[in-house]
Amino acid sequence: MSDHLVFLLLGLANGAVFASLALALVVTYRSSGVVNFATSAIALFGSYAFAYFRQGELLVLVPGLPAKIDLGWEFPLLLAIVAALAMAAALGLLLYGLIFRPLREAPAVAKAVASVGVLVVMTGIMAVRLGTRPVPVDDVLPSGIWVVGGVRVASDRIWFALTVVLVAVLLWALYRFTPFGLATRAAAETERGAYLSGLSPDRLAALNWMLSAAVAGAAGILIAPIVPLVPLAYSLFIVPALAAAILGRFQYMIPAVIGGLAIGMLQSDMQFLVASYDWLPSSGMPELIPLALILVVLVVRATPLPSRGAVVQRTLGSAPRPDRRVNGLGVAGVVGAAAGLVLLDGSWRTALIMTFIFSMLSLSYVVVTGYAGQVSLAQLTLAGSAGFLLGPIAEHLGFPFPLAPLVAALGAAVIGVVVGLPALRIRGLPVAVVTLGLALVLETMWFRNTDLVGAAGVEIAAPSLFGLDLSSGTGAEFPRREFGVMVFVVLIVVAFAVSFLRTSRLGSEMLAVRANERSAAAAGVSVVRTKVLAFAIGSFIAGLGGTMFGYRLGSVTFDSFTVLLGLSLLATSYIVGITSVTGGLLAGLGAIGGLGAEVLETWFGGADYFETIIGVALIVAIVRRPEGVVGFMMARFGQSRRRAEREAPDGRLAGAGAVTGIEPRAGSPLRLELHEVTVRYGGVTAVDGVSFSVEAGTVVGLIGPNGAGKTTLVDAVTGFAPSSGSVVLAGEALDGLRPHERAHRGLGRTFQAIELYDDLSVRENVVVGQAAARARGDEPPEVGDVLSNLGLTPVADRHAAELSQGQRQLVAMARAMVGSPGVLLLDEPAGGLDSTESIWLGERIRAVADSGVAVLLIDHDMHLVLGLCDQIQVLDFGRLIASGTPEEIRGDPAVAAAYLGDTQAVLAEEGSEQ
Amino acid sequence: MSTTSMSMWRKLLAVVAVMSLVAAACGGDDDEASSPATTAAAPAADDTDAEAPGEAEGEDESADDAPESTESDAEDAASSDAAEASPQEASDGPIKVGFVSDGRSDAIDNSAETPAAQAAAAYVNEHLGGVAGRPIELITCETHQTPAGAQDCVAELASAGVIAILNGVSGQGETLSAQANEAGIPYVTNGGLSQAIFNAPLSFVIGNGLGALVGPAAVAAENGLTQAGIIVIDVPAAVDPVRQAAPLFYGNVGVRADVTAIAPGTPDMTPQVQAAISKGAQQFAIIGDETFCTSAMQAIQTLGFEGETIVVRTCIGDASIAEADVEGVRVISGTSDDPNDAEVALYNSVMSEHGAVIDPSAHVGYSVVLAWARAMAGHGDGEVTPTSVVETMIAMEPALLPIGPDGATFQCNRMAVAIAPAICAAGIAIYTLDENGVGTGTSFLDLTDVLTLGGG
Repeated sequence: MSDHLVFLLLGLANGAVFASLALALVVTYRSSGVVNFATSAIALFGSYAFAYFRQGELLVLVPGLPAKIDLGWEFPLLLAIVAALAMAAALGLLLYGLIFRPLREAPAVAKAVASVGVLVVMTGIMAVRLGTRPVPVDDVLPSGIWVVGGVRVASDRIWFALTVVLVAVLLWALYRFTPFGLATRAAAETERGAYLSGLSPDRLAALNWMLSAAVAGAAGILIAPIVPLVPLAYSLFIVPALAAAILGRFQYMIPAVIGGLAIGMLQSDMQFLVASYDWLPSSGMPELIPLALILVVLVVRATPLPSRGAVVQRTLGSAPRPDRRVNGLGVAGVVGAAAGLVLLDGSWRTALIMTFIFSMLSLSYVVVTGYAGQVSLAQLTLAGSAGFLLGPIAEHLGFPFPLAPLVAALGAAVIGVVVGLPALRIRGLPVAVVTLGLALVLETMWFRNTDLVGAAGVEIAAPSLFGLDLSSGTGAEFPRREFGVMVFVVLIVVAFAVSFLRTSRLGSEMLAVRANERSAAAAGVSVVRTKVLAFAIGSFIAGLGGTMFGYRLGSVTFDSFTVLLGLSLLATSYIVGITSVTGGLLAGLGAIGGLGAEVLETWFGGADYFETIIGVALIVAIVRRPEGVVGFMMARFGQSRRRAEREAPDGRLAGAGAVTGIEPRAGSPLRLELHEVTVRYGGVTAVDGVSFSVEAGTVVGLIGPNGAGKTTLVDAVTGFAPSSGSVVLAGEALDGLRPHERAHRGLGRTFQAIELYDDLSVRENVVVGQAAARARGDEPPEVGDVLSNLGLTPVADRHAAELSQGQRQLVAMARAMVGSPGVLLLDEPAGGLDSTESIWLGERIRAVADSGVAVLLIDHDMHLVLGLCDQIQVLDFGRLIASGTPEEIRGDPAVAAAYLGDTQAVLAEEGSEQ
Repeated sequence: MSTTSMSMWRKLLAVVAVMSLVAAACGGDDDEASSPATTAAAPAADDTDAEAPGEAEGEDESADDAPESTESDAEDAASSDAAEASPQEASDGPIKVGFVSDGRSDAIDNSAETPAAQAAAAYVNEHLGGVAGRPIELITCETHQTPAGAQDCVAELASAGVIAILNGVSGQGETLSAQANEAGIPYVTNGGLSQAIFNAPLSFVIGNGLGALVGPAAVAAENGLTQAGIIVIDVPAAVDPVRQAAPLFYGNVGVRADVTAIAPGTPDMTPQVQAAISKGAQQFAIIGDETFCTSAMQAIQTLGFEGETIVVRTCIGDASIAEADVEGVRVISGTSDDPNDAEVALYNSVMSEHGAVIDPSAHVGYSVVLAWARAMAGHGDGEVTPTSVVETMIAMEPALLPIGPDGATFQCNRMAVAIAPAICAAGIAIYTLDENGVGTGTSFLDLTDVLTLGGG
């Protein structure tokens, strides 16, 4: 038997560990939309419960009660398993009721962070109550030794792998064939659907949580005989388990299990390769395997996680636009911090400086996650990379002080861009998982690799500027005040820069990308460039923080920058508020070693449950305020101020009347031609060989029953849907161009679902659209003029979220128009308008066309379409069934046949009015 | 926030340090003729469950590690014993001594370390007349198991004006040592496996920090092996010194060392162990914490490996309940577990007198404080400064090793181990576990041949 086969076989047990946890992750995600970082803690709970039942004891985790109750009878194996699974299921129910039910409409990130809180709390409680010594666990599966190809293999490990596969198959069958499973799948599609079908989504979710916790518990029981049972035993399995879950797209249990097994087996074989070939890095190679698999699956297939359709979906907290760069609060903070530097000493000054450093790291989260919406779990690792770079940059490359940390931070920025590259193809939580994997690889292959970094770490030379010693000092003089001042100055500069970024065009584009990548691209924003810049800037800031941390320590080692600590950095940043500079600055207070910790330690020190209390605070904060504490306070503050300053928003569109001058469009008129445009999704042909053209200065209507393919056609024209055939603009084929490139050529569009950026003001929403004109080298129309033409001036500074439906339509139009498009595609602009408003809107659209723009209009408002359009194209089942003037269409029997019901009545009515 | 749950790596570091320390603490260079009983085996488990050990013959070919002092060791030991027996109240104001612990977290529980140190300090004040004629007052600090926390501790203690920083054992030993040395304060620890600490002029390692590494090499040489495997937890503080030093020390006795680093959190280690076996390992030494060692031993047994397995004492924790089958496993140990040994009896009585909990972290907390006080026995009643502390420690006569086997001594003259001046104890004890996890057949390993820079 070849060595490789032997090692693949030996890796089966590790694979089964990952597979079993991946299975639990998938079951949880499928039913609740939670990427549950606490899965390993639930598994651990199950195995502790099992181990104690076998010893005749009942595990009690409630603080204050005895840790174990003697039952006076050692449970037999099967009963112990059943009892432990029941306890795990009860835990699942508890977690659902207390935490995840209140969070079921929260953003996926909030749920994931809450699960980190659960992990912290459970691990803490188990450590305090059960101790850190391993608890012995009896064999669960038949153990023995099989000799395979001359190598001894423990039979229980093979049985373990088979059991995991069996459990996966049973679960698959459960979800596939039972009414419970069908109902769960229906609820996962849409919560509303579940309501309509008479099921209680609540009860379903509770059952699913119990089931998924039991699956995790079962994983724990199976793992326990292999892995010594201590409170942190399973915490490091989460990365390969996540990788395996991603292989199953968090949906498919059997692929996830196979993925987990494959990871363990390939890691084992990699171990053999590392042992056989000296040139392979001695550290980190096995960790590359889950990452490589994640990358292949996510980046190559570029499949986003299916997100759950809850009735309401909240977004991340809003990223408020700072009214003034320096406000009272900011001044007070600066003065307070400066006074602290002067007045505090000893451990209090240390804590203050750590607060500054972690504020910087949190600000990097504000840019990457708060502004650009990319969830990175690698920010602390990136900070560490700058710290590790700083030593050699100063020592070997000879960069002097102020330059060396900047160059190191630039290095971190470059690495950050690499870490962020997968985010160019994928979105949301998968980005988080990839960054977690990359962070782990950086940690193992670099920070912990003794080929590169010795046990003593990388020495950092003391900083000095113009002869002024800025080092942190040692002994009694640590931390030197000069060092604190340096960190403080850097922090202030960073804070101003991040605040400036928020109000800059790039900042608006980031928020546009965060809010909606599709509409950002339609507005001409290059999503790729924006994301890359966000990762670069965020990583640069993290890098600066890392160099400051490095200067503080004097030499950096891996243990200040571990992946697991990085998780807690995200959690702190998230609770305090990840979307604003204020939040970022205040998050430093909650950092490890920061002022908050110092206060707690000084006044409440020594409590066994200290960590647990912090974890509970995290969970409570998220459940109560998913948008973060600062976001919540700001919203309160903002509301009352707004009420005081302004009248209640007027949802009405500006009064009817003549359209005031819309400037003729600059540049040559463009003609849009469609030649045999066809869109196929799988076996379905959504648009079938459509050809027509739209001339500058005219309005062409596109109508058809629901599902006729109207929006798909617009998506194909603007590059959002892959199509065959040809789209020609001003004689030039656009085929193969990406959406923002088409926007640059002069295609502007709005979306049926009005994809506005709710966190941005109306003006900011519209400014983003100028990107298209600017990319062409044209001077874009003044935002103020466009707003005024569309009657939006009175609401220009309001958040888009505050507007009425009609006003939102107009903002979407304004955003398209400031890109100075030659062709404007409007997808149901009159949705949500009453008839007066609709007429008013029609006048504006006509004025836009008259300024030299070709307009393609989709709408169900037949009064608007028939009254406004020069030409009408009628689509049904993806094919053009009629085209002509409004009069011709009205009389066309094919159109009447396609439209049944209300619309037909309208057509008839329109006809009779004529 | 979630500091503790995030401290897996730090824990591992800490435990690595613990192991090497516990492995080390056995002072080697006793006059074997005078103390055959010191080689008695001790049960590996709790002191309290210890059964009376058989009086095994020490197979002692040792060892003048500290050549100049050999003759006088026994007498010195005896005299210091006598001194400790007569209670003697300390006078004058207390001298401030720093004591650093990693404390407790989800990963590691050293919470018994500081109380044990306090108990030892009380004993020193009540029965030894304090240090330099004055009582000692411990100023305590916890590292939270981070480099930054260790840095904070040294700064705080320096601000408090301590004249020495003591530490049972810490995963942050390198930082503590570096920071204390920079601050000009002596750093005294029970153990560690760091080249940087071994060479730091103001640092002292009471036990033989290299024992964990060198002991198995000596065993391999004894058994006439040519190739030996070392399974080490993949954290830099452990891997780096092992990778650097193992080939040298094993090479000194003609054994080829093959280092296998395994990432913490590897559930099943059979692939790595199989790879090492395939490369020809004839014995295995394991360097890691209890969890790590258990997995490694399970893998070795699963694969049916026939050679010796050598672990450090903390590797096996409570051997009587260990998951792996420990019979025949050889253990390198610092402290004696034989309640009949005088030092063990003293430890037990001091701990019970002060109501302190006995566990491995208590061992090291107690040991370092008492060892330091004994090392300071030669300090006159003059002013105690960091400099006078260092001078006194270097000039010390051999003293009894706290909780050591009868007669085991240490001497911090920076010559006990030539290549690692900070190490104070030169020898190492080893015993074999029986089917109940009880140690039998304790012997002392002569490390002199191995602990040289080549050629030995």
